[in-house]
Amino acid sequence: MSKLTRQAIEELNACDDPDLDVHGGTHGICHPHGSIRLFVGIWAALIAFTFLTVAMASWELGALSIVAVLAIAATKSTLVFLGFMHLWWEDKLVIKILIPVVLVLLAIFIGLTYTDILYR
Amino acid sequence: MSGTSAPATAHGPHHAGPYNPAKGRLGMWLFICTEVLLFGGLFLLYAVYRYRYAEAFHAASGLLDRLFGTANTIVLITSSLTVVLAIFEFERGKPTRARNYLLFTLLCGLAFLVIKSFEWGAKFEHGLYPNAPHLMSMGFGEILYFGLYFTMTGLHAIHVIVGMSVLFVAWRRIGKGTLMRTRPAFLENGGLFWHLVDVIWIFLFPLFYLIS
Repeated sequence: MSKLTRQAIEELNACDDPDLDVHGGTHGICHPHGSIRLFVGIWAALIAFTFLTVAMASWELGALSIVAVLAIAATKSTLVFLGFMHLWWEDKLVIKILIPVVLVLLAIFIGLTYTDILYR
Repeated sequence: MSGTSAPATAHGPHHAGPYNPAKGRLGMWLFICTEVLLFGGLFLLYAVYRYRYAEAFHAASGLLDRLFGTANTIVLITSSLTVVLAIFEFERGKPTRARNYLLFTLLCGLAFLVIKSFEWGAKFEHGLYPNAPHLMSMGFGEILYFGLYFTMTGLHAIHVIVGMSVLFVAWRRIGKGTLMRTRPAFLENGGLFWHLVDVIWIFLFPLFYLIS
């Protein structure tokens, strides 16, 4: 790695570099996504869902319990994907649909496996 | 692209050509998808065996300490918040704050591993580890449950160590000035990996600790 001069570092840290706008790669750079309030709010929701799911373990929900547990985990991970992982602000469609595609694929794997073990 | 090199100040220290963080981000998300499928396969295995040995899984889950699991969930969720705040502060030109948030995240990662080691240590003391005589004397369902438990939380812990290493490098590079505000891809992608580690734990925690 070549050593940078102090001046070069300062130029790279300056957000008025015209190159940044030319190549369309300005996602988040110098203009961060979200706000501190939003991220702290998401964190509070995640903590609240954690306590809810712990409390639910002692309720007598029977077969419904696994559905409720998975619904809460899915809600929590959606919050992380959209908020913390910035997918909400993603402007590239390819990146936005990757995770849903993989989750559908996983659902097909699990669904087909269950038809096998239930109706064999 | 022409062979003439662009001025180093305009295109970064070690490469010429336009800077396009979307490419690196796409690569990171593709990697995250392979990780989802890796853990997805293990979750599939878990789902089938939990269905087959429902009572054994319920009994074995009762042997886990919910307090450890809940504490680690809170630690990991909080560390996810501080990573996203580090990226936020870094991109609005506050590298010192970003480094402090990263340091806090690393401490959370360390706390997670320490809690995990206490938890595993307690299991080992009670003769619950792979191939332990006491565990092997239990039923087939319990053996499968603890096999999956150690495999999945162990693989997850390896991911925590990898994520901490990446974030530590980001912390050092911001300090040295070689990770720049206009080129934050390394920090952003390291953050994405850390959040993935959090998402996996969000599923591991209720499925292993909270079988009711």
